[in-house]
Formats: sequence, structure tokens, C-alpha cells
Amino acid sequence: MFKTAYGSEPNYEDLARAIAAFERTLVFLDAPFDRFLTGDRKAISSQARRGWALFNGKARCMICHEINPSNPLGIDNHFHNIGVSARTRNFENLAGRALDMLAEGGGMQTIDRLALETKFSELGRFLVTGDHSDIGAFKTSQIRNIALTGPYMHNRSMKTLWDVMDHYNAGGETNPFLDGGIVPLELSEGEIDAVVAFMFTLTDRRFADQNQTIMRKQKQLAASKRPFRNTAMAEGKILPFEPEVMGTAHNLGQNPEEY
Amino acid sequence: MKRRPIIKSVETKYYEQRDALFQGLQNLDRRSFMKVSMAAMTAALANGVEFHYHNFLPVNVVNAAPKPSLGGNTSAVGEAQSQDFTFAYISDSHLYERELNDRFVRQLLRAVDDINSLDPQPDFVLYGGDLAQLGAPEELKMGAEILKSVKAPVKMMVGEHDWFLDMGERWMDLFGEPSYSFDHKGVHIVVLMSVNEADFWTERGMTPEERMLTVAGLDNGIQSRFEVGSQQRAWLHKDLEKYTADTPVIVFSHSPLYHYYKPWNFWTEDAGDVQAILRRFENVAVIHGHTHQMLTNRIGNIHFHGMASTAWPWPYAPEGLPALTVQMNRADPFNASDGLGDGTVHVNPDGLVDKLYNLWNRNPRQVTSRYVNSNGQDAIPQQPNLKSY
Amino acid sequence: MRKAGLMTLAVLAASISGWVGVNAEDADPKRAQTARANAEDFAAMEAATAQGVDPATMSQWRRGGGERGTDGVAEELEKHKVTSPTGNAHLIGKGQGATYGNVTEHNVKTWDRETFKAAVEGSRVFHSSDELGSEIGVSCDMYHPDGSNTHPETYPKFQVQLGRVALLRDMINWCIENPVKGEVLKPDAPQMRALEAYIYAQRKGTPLSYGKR
Repeated sequence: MFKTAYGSEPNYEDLARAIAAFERTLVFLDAPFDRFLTGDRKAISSQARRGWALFNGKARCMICHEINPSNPLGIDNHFHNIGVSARTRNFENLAGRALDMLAEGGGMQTIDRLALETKFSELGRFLVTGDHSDIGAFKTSQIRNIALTGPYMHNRSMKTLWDVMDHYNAGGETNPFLDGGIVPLELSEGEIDAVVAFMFTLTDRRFADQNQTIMRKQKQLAASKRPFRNTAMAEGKILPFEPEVMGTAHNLGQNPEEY
Repeated sequence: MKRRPIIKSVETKYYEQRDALFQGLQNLDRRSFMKVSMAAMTAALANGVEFHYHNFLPVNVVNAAPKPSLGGNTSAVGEAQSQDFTFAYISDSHLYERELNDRFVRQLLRAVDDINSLDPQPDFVLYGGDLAQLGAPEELKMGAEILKSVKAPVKMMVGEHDWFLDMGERWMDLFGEPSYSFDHKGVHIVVLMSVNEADFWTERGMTPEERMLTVAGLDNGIQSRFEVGSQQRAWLHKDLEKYTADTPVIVFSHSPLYHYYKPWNFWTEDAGDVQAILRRFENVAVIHGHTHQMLTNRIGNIHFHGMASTAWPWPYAPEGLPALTVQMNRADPFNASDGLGDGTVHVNPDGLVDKLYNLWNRNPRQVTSRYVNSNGQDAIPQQPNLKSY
Repeated sequence: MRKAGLMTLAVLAASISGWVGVNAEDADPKRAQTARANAEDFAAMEAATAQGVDPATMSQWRRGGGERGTDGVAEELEKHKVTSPTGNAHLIGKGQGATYGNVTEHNVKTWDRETFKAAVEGSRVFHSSDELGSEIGVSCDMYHPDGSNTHPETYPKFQVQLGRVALLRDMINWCIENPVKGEVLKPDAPQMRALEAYIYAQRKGTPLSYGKR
């Protein structure tokens, strides 16, 4: 087969070309959203169009998930701590111990060891750069065909796109290294639905059927369970860091007349 | 097969940098480790390599070896020989009533969470002033409530935003006298009220709210320039009288106690007089707020360090910036808490201070006594790659 | 030496036109950058009489409500310095005849005064959380005292978070919507025009560098 394609015995250069040729068939960037961008307003629903407006505005997605004519993938090639790892580990403790190990004369072996031990892997980009500001930071994921690539986040902790929206709406998960761009969003249920509808338009048309099936499944799941929803935080009734600092059930500043 | 160009990934470059530092350290004993570490750290800092600190306590090796203490005991009052210690700071929170604006409340809560997470805990926490934005009782009370949750003892300092609605009535109710002093591990610490302003409001017939709004505008030219004032200078003089010149002195002040930029009250009018009172001491450090930026200065024996704010960053002033200051990267408007944070100050046995800025989402920055003493030649903090406009 | 010479010429020109201070700063390029007018300068702009409209006529017109909103100028300038517009007095009396290209003092006075007023109005909006419709009591000067760090010379530039190449007014609107939490302004709204005037004024003399980060 190789000889037919390349006219010679298998060699590294042509092997690479063959793999590249195959990979090029895996580019799926022909979604209803792309049609919409070229001017076909009807390519996506009005709800999805509302979602796109929110994506650019109130929902703050565009700040990390760049979509523009020079970069249509929804990725900024940066690393951000959005609080996902902070949710399941004793995060600050881990970070402290990792920094200790570095200061005491670790080297490449220490980093390797840290990266391979499961619990330390939650420290994210820090394990590569050793930078304090990278603790718990993971690379922004691209969002093309996002419907097809669940469960979501680096640790697959979120089953539906509604869970993802709930996570951001509440301002992520507070931790000392949380990216300051992650703030409570005060999105209503309707607004969340609109952004999710928009995200489903990012699936390549060749997968339209799968897209519909997954959308139905996720909708069903989200209707029964919303484990990441935190309305009090999303609406500002509780502030990020307030429970950690003031304790729960504390009415900080809620009754100014008492002052 | 063609030769492929060698491209070093970011990961490889970082490994190489770290390897260069740790290469010789595998089998050294602790003392040699400290020595090599210090040399390598200095070299690396000079080359702009960022260093990574344990949470945000400064690494001790960066300090010069402790100077032999001159003249035996450090203070005439019979205090113990000074040891080194660390205190933390939170400053310039500018709280509004929560119903109106909760952004600054959130950010103060974050700072308190940071300080409470420090391990080991600092000896005390300095609150640098401007707890409230408009001096309102609700703002001050809420701030006091939040600060009650700080685990370590808190030393309060007043800023102009706290004072000029009711001329400090509410502040003094909550926190006591605005200027005071105390000793800690051989260091004499003075807290000043350095944001007094000559009366500009009576002749204009201003209401208290109008007076407060005027002072609250950084670039509002109607207000007077800050001053410590003759009364308080006299108090300072008397307070310092009984301490020998080799006592380390630290002054906490909201305004910078030098002349930086007059139009923004980055300025203390009687700075010269205050500095004169402090001149006879060997080592004086001034830790100040108000400027909301990384700021360093040295005038003779006095090292000046600005504190970061938790509320919003100020740009650097168009003129008057002290030459020693290594600027922080300009803030990213899309990250509401960029250019902000809290930090710690490590006080060496000789009283010289190393200031650490824990800026959120950025690597901690340390401005050491070594840097200031060498007039900016040694231990230079990393320069910004995004300079201010 | 040369600086002193320029200053003298400028002061001479200024005394002819009746404004002191407006042109002196332009004579020295360095001061031009940081030049600030104050309430007296604006009053001086008003006071120039040669070839202007007769002051008595002007007063009568104003009393009848002909011009609104000049009182605010003096009040605003008491609180905040606003850079005065680039001086044009050196053009007076130079022309190529009595028609085209003939610049009179009246022309210069009108240009200067109206231009300056726009920048001062911008300062008023810039410093007012109410005027910006802020729900959270925030005004522009809280992050940008005296209009600092607004860098209008760097626009237009592509701003990823805005998803487009931003002009100054786009960034102003983003700021109004987000950190200020006010109501977004229409591009041609009087407040937007005033804000732009003020921001450009405060950055007078900075070279244009569109696209700069």
C-alpha cells in the first residue's frame, strides 16, 4: 500500500506525510455556526443567536474562548485556574508541599514524581513551569464540536454543558489561585439555556444526528440533576470567599440599617 | 534523512533553568546548600529568572547575613535582642455598602482568606487604610466584621476615605486612636495618621458628604495635600525619644511620607520634617498605602515600600516616580482582580525589611533590603514586560 | 537659550491675543505634554475682545438662555485640570488675502473655547458615576485619575475579548458596561463624544501608535 501511495519502501518522511494526510481528514469545522458567521442568520436558532451575544458579553466566555476570523477554535492558548481542581483536593496544601519540595533542592526528578503521582497532577501547569501563578491552571480547551467531547473539564467532572454553565455562573470554585476573570455571572436559567444552545451549534454538520442525540440526553440529565448549580453564589447572595472567611450562614453587610 | 532543527519547547527550557540551579545541590549539606543556593539565586535574579516562593513567605537565603548587632541590646527599654519575624498586610479595600457594590467586598474577603491560609501565621496583620470608600458607617462596620475573621492580631491604620465623612468619629469608635506605637521583638513600630488635610470645606460651605466626595476623588484639586501635622510630629518626636539610634524603626503610614506626585496626593506635605525626625535611626522602614501599586524608594536611612490594594490598581504617575521602583506589569482590564493582592513583610534581625507582594494571578514579587541598600544594583526584581502607558 | 527665545515669542503672541498661558505651554514641547489650563485660562478665552462678538451682546444672549452649560465649566476646572487645546494664535493675521486662509482672532477664540468646553464636559462625565449611570457607584477616574492609562493613541486595535478591532469608543463602552456597570452609550451620544474629547485632550502630544499593546 505504501509503495502504491509513495512509490518507495516505508520511510520516516513519507510516514509522517501519510499520518498528516489522515489527520487532515479529522478537521471538522463546518458547523451551523460557521454558516452563521458568513451571513446566514437562519443557520442557527434565535435562541442560539442570543447565546452567541451572551458568549461575547455577560457570560464572559470570549475572554478565554476566543473565536475570531484569525482564530476560530475558541482557544486562547493560555492556562487558567478556574477552580475545577480545587473542588476535589486539599488544593492549597498540595501547592504548599510542592513548593517546599522544589525549594529543598528538587530537580527534574522531583517534577516528574509530582506529575506522576495522581493527586499532584491537579496542580496543572505549575508542574511544568514551577510558577506560583500557574498553580491549578489548565489549558483553555477549544470548544469546537464541544457537544461530542463530554464529559467536560480536565478531570471529566462535568457531564453536561449545563453543569459547565453552572460552574462558571457561580464564579468557579474559590481557591487562592483562582483566575480573577472568573466571577459570578448572574445568568438566568433562560440565559444559560441560550448559551448552551449556542454551544450545540458548534458541532460539524457531519455529526448533526449525534449532536441531536447528545443534546436530548444532556437535556434529560440536566433536567433531573444540576450538581454544580449554586444560585446563591451566582446571584451574589453569598460572595466568593465569604463562607471560607466568615463561616456559613453569615449575613455580611445584608442589613446595613443595623450599622 | 534530513537533519531536523532543534526546537526547545517551553517545558525543556524551564527544566534547563531549574537544572542549572539545582545541579550542584544533590549531595550538599545544609550549610553549603544555603551558600550555593544564595549565589545561584542572585545570579538567576540578575538574569531575570523568576523565583518561586513557598506560599508567599520569602526564602531566607536571599537576605544578607545578619549584621552584628551594634552596642549590645537594641533598645534602652530592655527589650529582648531582636529576632526576625514576619507580618502580613492588607490595604486599601475601599468598601462600598454590599447592596450597592460587592466587588470590593469579594476582594477583601479573598485577601483575608489568603492571610488566614499562611503557614506559619504572621505575627500580626497590618490593615493599611481606606477600609471604607465613602467613610460611611455601614462600610466601616462591614469592614470591621470582615477583619474580625483574620486569625492573627490586626493593627489598624486609617486612610483618607475612612476619615473625611465624619472626621474620624466612626473610625475611632471602632478602632481607637489613629496614631499609636508598640514594640515587637526589639523593633519599634509607629502607626501614623498621615492623611490630615487643611480645612478646604468650611469656606466653601460643603456638607460632610461633599467633603468626603471631594477627598475621595484622587485627582480632585480642591482638597488639600496630606500632612502628618505639627501636633503629630511632636508626638512622634516624643515617642521616639527613648529609643537608641540602633533600634530598628518601622513606620506605618497611609500617605507615602515623601514627595511622589502632588496632584494625586501621592504626597505628604511635611515629609521633610517627618524624615528629619527619623534621620537619627540607623534603619527605618516606611510601609505605606494609598498608591495601590508596587512602589519602592530610599531616602538616606529610610526605605519606603508601598502596599498593594485589594480594590483597584492605580497607574504610575506621569512624573516623580522614585528611580528605585521596579514597576509592576500594568493591569489587565479583563481580569478585575489583576494588579491587586496582599502580602507580607519580613523583618530581619537588623530591622531591614524584605517586602513581598502577593499579587493575584501573578508570581509573588519580593523587594528586598539588599535591593534597596545596594541602590538597585543587587537582587533586582523582575522588570515588567507590559509597561505602563 | 533657544527655549527662552521661544517662550518670549509665545508670551508676546499671547499678550497680543489676550490669553496668557494657552500658548506659552505650546512653545515648550515638553510642557505641552503636561500642560494644564485652569479656570482663569478659560475666563481669558472669554475675555478676548478684538474682533470677537461684543461682550455686551454675548451677555444679553446668554441671559436669554442662548448658551447653556458654561457655568459647569468653571466648577469642573476647579476640581480637575483639563489640558487646553493646541494653540492656534500663531495663525492670526497670516493669510493669503482677506478671504480664504485668513485667520482672525475671532476664529481662534471660537475654536479654542468650544474645543476646550467639550474636553471639560468630558471631564465632568468621566468623573461622575451618576452621569455614567453606574449601578455600583464607580466612575472612570477611579481607575484613570486625570485620564491616565487610557492610551487612546493605541486604537484602533484588535481586542480579543471584544471580538473585533476596537476603537476608543468601543473600549469606553466595554468599561461602562463592565467595571462601571452603567448603560452602554450610543456611539454618537453626547456623553461618548465628550468622553472621547477629554481622553484625547489628556493625551495631547503622544504619537499615534495604533495596534500597540
